[in-house]
Amino acid sequence: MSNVHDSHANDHGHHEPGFWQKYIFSTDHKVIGIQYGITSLLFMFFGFSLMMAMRWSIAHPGEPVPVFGFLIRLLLGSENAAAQFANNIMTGTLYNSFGAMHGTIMVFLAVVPLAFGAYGNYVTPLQVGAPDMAFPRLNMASYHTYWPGGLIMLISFFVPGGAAKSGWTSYSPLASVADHGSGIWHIFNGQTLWLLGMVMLITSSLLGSVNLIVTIVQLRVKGLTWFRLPFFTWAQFVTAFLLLLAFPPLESAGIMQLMDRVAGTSFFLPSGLYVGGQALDVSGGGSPLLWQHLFWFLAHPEVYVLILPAVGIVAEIIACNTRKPLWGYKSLVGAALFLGFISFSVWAHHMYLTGMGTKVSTFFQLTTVIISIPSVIILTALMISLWGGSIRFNSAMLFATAFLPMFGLGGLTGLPLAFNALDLYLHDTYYVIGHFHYVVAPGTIFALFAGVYHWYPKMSGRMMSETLGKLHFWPSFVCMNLIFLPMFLQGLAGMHRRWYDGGASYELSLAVVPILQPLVPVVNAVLEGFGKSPVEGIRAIDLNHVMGWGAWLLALAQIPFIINVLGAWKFGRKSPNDNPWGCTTLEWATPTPPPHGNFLTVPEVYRGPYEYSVPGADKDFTPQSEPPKARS
Amino acid sequence: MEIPYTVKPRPDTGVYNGKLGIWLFLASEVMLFGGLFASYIFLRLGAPEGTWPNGLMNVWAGFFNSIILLLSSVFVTMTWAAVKLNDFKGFKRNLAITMLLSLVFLGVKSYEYNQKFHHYGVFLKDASSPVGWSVQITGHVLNNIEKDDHILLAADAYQPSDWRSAPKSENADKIKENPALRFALPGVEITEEKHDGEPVLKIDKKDVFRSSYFVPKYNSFFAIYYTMSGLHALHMIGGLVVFLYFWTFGSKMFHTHRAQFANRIEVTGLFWHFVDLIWFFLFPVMYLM
Amino acid sequence: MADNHSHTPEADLSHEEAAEVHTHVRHYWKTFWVLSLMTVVMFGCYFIPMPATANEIAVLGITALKSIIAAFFFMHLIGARKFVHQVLVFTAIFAVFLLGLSLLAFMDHTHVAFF
Repeated sequence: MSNVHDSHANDHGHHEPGFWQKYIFSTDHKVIGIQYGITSLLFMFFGFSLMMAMRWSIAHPGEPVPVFGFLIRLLLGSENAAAQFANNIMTGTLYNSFGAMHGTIMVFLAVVPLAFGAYGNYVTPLQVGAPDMAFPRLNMASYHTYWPGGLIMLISFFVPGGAAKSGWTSYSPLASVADHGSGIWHIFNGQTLWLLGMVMLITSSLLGSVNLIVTIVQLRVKGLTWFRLPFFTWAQFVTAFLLLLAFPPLESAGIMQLMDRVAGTSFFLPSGLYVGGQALDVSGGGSPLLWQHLFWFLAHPEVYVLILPAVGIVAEIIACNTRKPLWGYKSLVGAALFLGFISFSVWAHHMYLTGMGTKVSTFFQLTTVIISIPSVIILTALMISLWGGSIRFNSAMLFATAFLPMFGLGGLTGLPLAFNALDLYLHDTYYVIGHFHYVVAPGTIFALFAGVYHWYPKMSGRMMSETLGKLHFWPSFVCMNLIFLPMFLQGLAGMHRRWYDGGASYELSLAVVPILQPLVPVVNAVLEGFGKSPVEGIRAIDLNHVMGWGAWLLALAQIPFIINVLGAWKFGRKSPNDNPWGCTTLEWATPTPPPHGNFLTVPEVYRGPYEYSVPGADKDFTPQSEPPKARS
Repeated sequence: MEIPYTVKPRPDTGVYNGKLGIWLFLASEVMLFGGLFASYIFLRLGAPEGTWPNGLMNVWAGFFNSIILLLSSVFVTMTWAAVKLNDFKGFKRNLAITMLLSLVFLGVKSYEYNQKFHHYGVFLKDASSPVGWSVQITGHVLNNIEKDDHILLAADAYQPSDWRSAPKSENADKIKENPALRFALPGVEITEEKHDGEPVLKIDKKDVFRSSYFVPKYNSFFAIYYTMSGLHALHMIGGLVVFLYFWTFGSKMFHTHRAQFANRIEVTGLFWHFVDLIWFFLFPVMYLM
Repeated sequence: MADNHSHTPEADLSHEEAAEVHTHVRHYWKTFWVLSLMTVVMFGCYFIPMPATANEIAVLGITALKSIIAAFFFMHLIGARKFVHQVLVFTAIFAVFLLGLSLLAFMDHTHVAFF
């Protein structure tokens, strides 16, 4: 459905679109991509702040939050602050809210909108040679459904009772009964608002995924066959399918949980449930496990939604900054397709402890172990791609290279969790948190940062500062490991997740971690310097202090990035040409920044996406759209 | 700036953009209703033996609606054909019939919902039963159940929790003579009165395990029935809004860009056929099984 | 593609193209009658006394056939390329597999009393 009016206006220059149509209600995929980018980064900042408050509670339970306590009071409003944040001390209730919302915001409002909404929208149409997405107005609708969903989530902190606190997983029966209010608060409470926000986010995601798939299938330019597509586009393609097909069961579950909360049904409530000493006046006969099945049916493919765009970005950056083709392009594509397909049959590995029989558990164990294979193929192909390359370590490449071992560690630590027997011990411990944060935080988010550095010159016509880039990278890299590596040790020691006191009331977390004994002399030397008494061993709970400092320093390490992104737009060194990095893919064949309609003339593609250092060529890269030299 | 393949199909895929788009959307809708149908299966399988109700639905209303929706589906194809053949009058007529038929469907649905909301059900306590109740009696409430300590019910049916396996009652002959005797149960007083030909029962609240109108919270069956048929109805209303737009402001495009307009009608028609398909499954599953 | 400026109405269909549309129309009505008949038969099964399982299989079987006919004729899938048919068949099999898997997992739980 083409935007007839849009092209009419621009063809004749009858009226330049005003501010609102140009920047707020734009149907141009590049503007929408930037809108997604800015909004998702803001949400990421908010989600990060929630985590810092949580880290304080974990390391210093019962102590008032220093300096920034007033911000939390502002967020909660006076009523909630009195109930959950008296004297600026984080209660367990508030910690639960922050935990649930940190997960929800980071997954659904920050990482996916950035990886898929921002990068998918901005880069993919350019990479396939299209003038815009297939359905520009639908694209605009998807953005304007996303941010209201996010706003609903934010508002939920302020309503009586505070935000949702049943985990980002929103398990019933707790999520079906928590936070009930009377009058309008029967609907406008945190837990119900969470569901309403999710419905909007799922709708937005659906519109976006339809758009992206049709764009890739239908709008590829002449000569751009499937196996000449850049791997980034393949990755976004598979991601779109995951979003399209995996989200609806969660939407159906969300509708049912909404019915439970608002209409008093018992989809997920078993019979005989007592809450606060009172029997519930419901029919019962429902199943909490039904929620879990429906939730994880989405949430497992969702994690591949989190990772696939990231490997796509890293692939582009590695090819361009090693000046050689990607190793194993066909394997990469095959692995991505296989990964997407298999991801639908592993979900119950999140449910090993729910009493499933051995046959079913074994099945899921098998598929989960199998799904590690395509991930390894992708990682190996990217690593081998570095071999023999002429590597240029700009900021994008630093982040992209660091992604490889970080994602590798995250993926490898997932393997023990795949096994039913091991998961019996590790389930719901900090080990799990360490595993998934490694893949998403120094994994995906590093790749997303890399993408910013890489495509910034195309978007703005200016270069970001390399110095600030390095100042951003090195501390971030160190701090990410400071925060997440100890989590494996804590988890193996048996420390549970979702505890607001960081394990202080749990005997196992007070046990010494044997593997850290060699570090004790170092620690004691530091303690002596601060006038504190030496310790005999480092306990799991002590690691919370290291992680807390890591979080705080990680926050500081983002300041160079924020300055860089904002400052370079006006003050950055002008990009020398349309293609400062010398990349081969189509997005670099546009003017800078690309105008409405993207390409001055419709490009035609003559070769694959990674023709770097072609023997006999006059430069070390041959763009996809450059016509072949006429034979003399 | 023109987006290619909006009207003419792309040669190697054989489709125009909107068609691929709507099929992808329908795939996601299959997953949405699929999730709900799967939940139906799990709820029914997980329900204690015999507690899943039977015979509470108005099957004739459902059958009537099935034919109505099928008819509206064929008229939406006629609408598309009229656009292709440059028959504006035919387009308007067929689309009007389509919309009218869907309004009839929604009207019947509203009538059904209304009937249900006024129907009441009482579960009689039975401590010896694994589910806490042994019989549910349904009918219409005659008194103010908030204020009074008893319920006056003009009863039309009763269903024991073990109805699938229960042996025939010894009083079968007596019941044939006087159907009201069905309700001769502990805790139930059969009054002398009748209301619309049905016996009026007096049931003390202390003998009641649970009771409510036939609203979503009544039992798992109504929960899933209202959720699924409600979601289906919402989809119909959405389609109706789009049809109305094409019938009014959107019909201008018939004269200016007819080929593109035909595509839009086709795409909306595909959505409408999907809505019909969902009803194909909803009717037998909810009404007949 | 349509001219954006002058809004000229498009030319009528050629004879062949019009005939094609009329063929489609005939198919649509035939499909309607077949589907209506199947609906009546399915509804009739409700009134015929038969064991519950047989009833369920009959009713769902007829419904499945109806949906395939509707998809192929009303939604014109019969005109789609072979690849599309292959994808659809594969999807149907995969969907049955996923449902079966979930049922298997779920049936382990229904032996545990929720209440």
